[in-house]
Amino acid sequence: MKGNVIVQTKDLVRSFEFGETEVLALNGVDVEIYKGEFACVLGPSGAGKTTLLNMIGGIDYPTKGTVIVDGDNISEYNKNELNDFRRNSVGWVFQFFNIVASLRAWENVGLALEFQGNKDKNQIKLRSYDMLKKVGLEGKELRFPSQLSGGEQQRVAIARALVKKPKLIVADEPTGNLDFITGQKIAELIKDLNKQEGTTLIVVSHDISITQFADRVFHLRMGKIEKIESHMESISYKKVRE
Amino acid sequence: MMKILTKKIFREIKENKFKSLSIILIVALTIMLLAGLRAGHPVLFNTFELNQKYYNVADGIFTFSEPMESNNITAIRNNIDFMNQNKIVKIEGRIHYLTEINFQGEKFQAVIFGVDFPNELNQLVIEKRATDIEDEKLILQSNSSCLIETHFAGGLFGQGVEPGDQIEVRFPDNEINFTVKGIAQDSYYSYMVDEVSNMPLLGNLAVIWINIQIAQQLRYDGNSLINQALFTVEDRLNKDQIFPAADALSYFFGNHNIPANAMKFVVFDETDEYKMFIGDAGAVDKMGTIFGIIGLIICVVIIFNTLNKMVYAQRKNIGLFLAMGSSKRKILFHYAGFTLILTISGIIIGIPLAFGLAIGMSQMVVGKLYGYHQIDLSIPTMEFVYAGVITLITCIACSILSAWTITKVTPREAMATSFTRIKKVSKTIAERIFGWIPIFKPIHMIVPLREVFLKKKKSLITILALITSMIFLVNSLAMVYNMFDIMIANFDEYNTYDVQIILENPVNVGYINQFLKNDNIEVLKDINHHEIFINVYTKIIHNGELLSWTELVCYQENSTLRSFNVIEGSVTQKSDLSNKTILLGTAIAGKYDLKLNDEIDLGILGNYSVEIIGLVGELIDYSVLWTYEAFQESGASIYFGLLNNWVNGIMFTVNENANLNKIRDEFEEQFEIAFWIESETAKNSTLAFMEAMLGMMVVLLGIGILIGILFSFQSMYVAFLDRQKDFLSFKAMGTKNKYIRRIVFWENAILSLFSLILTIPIGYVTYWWTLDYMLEDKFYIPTSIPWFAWPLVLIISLLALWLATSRLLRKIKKMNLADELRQAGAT
Repeated sequence: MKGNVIVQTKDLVRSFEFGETEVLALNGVDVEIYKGEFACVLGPSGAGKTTLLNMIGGIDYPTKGTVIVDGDNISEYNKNELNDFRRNSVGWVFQFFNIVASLRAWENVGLALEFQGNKDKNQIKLRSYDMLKKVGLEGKELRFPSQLSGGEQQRVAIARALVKKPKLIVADEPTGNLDFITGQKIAELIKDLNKQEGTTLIVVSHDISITQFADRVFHLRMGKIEKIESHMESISYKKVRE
Repeated sequence: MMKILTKKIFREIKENKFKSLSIILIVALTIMLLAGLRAGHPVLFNTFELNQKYYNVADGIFTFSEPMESNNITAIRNNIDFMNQNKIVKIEGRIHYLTEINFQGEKFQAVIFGVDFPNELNQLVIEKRATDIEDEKLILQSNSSCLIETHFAGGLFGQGVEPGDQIEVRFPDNEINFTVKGIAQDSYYSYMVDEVSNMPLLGNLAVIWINIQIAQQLRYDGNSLINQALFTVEDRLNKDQIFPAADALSYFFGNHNIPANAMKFVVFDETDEYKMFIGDAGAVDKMGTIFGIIGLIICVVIIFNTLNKMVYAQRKNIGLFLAMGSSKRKILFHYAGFTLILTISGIIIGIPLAFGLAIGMSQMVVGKLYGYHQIDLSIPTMEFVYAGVITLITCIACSILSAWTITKVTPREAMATSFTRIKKVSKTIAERIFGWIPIFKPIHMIVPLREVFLKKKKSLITILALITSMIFLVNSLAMVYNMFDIMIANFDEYNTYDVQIILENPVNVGYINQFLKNDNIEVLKDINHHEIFINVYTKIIHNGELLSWTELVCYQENSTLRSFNVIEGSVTQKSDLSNKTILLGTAIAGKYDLKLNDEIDLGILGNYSVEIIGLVGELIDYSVLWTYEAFQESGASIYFGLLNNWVNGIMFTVNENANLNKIRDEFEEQFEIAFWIESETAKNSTLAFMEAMLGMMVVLLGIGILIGILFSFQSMYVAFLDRQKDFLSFKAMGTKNKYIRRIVFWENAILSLFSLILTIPIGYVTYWWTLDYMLEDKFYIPTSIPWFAWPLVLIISLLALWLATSRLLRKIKKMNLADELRQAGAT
């Protein structure tokens, strides 16, 4: 897997100003994520996980350093280029799902394709239905978000992220708003889809249980990578802790 | 818990500075308009009454087209029994002459009064006097001295006349120069209504007072004659005393060689000035109510939208409170408390503003516009209490209503990610209606359709807001247009004469025809068409009750110079009128509740019954209209002291380049002329009035457009604020701006379209209602809305739409995605 890097950050710094105080959310982060990898960024609250994900997912700019995705330095992109990048290369999954309440499940998924410029509504519908089937929502395509459970809503969000076949999927606490069992199911689903679709997956979480599905775990603390563990190390580490 | 929640309210007010301030400001504005204008209204009326009494403005005025000996007035005054019996306190005679003046090379319409200064009735306040006048009482002692009315002299629209200036006044035989010795104010004059055109000519109508002896010399060859008698009664402004006194006086004058046809009587509340006053001042409190209602609707919409957004944003807190066992009542009280604090703050700011408006407006209108010197500033405080209570109740009710939904959900639902509950699975009506339109085919375009139709309460509030602003715009536009239209129609459609003459004494029709056919008078050949008419005053009696005195005008059946604007009744041509049927001005019909098919009695020396078969509307219309032929056939002439086939009015059209001055000289040689009215002058007067009004109308229309745009914009803008999260998701998905623009634009466009469709019927009803409520029957203004009002409203709505869309897009574009997502709780 090494040598096929899709995401690379170099000396990534992101600071925020709160009045006269400057807070360093990221303080020189260097990571490399490989194509098709399921990477998990783990850390306590305030460690800088979401900030790092925002940089990689094209939502925010670094104060210093570079973010290279598939050979392109996206930290040099202007706002429009970054917008294009989010539209075509990244699939975002949020903790609170962020799906449109007035659209049905399949329409929420299809929206991602439409925004990419796909105008064939039948094809959009077919692909959306197909993706919803993959995330286990067959038969619920016509439901509105308020008619779905939290876990189902997150599945819609995942389907929406996957349907456009992005280079990578970034998920910010995808299980954070779900109960343990549903969270585990969602994590398993993400892992399965990662395997099936071969999409690179970066998941940010403070939930240690999600690490069992990851290929590598990046431990982030105080804005710095504390250590990187492989899947096995992560599991044994977990076992040791238990 | 309540204490903590109370703290929370203040924190929320602080956090939502902009929205809180909007609520406070709109509440303050509503109070200011509702209480301020309504409280200003009695001030205007009280001030009017105060000035009427303070300066002895006549309760009634007789004008004689044929002059009478001035010692008749002395005789009445000395007849104590007559005075006491008829409760007449003061009576005075003067000379009234309508003419034109030349001031600094410019001609103006003028009214000349010959008075025995200092006169007792319609007392003057000398505002400025020439330096050589030591004793004010002697200001008109010199033959060449005159006083000029303050509106014409200065004020807001005046001509800048100063004591010492020269003014040339046209009299029948020559032009006389007078020196202005002082600027005077007469409480009778507030709008300076021109008796010729019936239009207010603020700053363009010159009212001039000269010594009565000089006036008698110039008008009546030095004979001691007068042509106006003014009187007051014991109980001032009481028509129960004024009418009997007028009756007694009319018999007295009749017995002293004044024929009934030469007598015109006007009671204080039917003078041209009062009609204007009541039209404007009377509308002030109604405008207060209308603006107040609009303000309240705006309050409701803003509070509803603000609280809706707040409730939505705080649903998790609410869920938490519910989970902690808080009662729904406490939650409702919390939001009611939020509104209560803001509304009370608004009321506290609004009340001094309302006081300021009431006092400022009264002083401005009464002091500057009317020119009154006595101002009654007793402001009715109850108006403030009413306004405060109404606003407070409305705002609190609205806040409870907007927070009501959240108290109905379970804690789990409240804390869930999506608060929008949609139960429907089948297609919405919106999709069925609009779904086939290509623009709504893409998935993202379903969003505006569903948002409008699934969130019915919210959409209704926005539509209500849009309708309010559209109606305001349509109504102000229709009012301005119709007022101008009817004025123009008065001269281009209903009145097509070039000159109208009212004679002092009636003459036989044959005599007029003979004069006009006289080939020896060259200038008369320029008259290409002439008609005769009768113009007298009549009493109007209905069911045995004397309602008023008014003008009776009888035109020829085949008249081409005067047509009627019949707005009610089946009369299509003048020949439809018979010897028993007449037309009545809508203003007087409305004032005295006279309807079609009512029977009224006309006449001065006796009563003649006629039926009203049509109502005419020509702005300010108080006349009874008949045809000359029907009048002759009726035999009613005797009730007006007229002989058969005798008339006192002539009107004609002339060839281009005709010399009207020479024609007038010929007429003056042949007849005693009371009024010589040139339509060009009347038209110019109207134009001058329209010019003066234009500024005001532009302001009214400007406010209408501004409110239309701002309120529509605000309503559309606020309606989107609770959807920020959707747009954040779109941005996070890398959505191009054009998609977001389309969603925002079309959602607003659908709302605007529905609002416009609903505005059409509601607009007609409210326009009719507003006119009926504001003007009652003081003026006639058509209730139809001009067609172009609708495309204009559409354009204005589109402008507001564009503004709202651009503003929202800019906001979305400027979003710092990372920050906004964190704050919105997306991550």
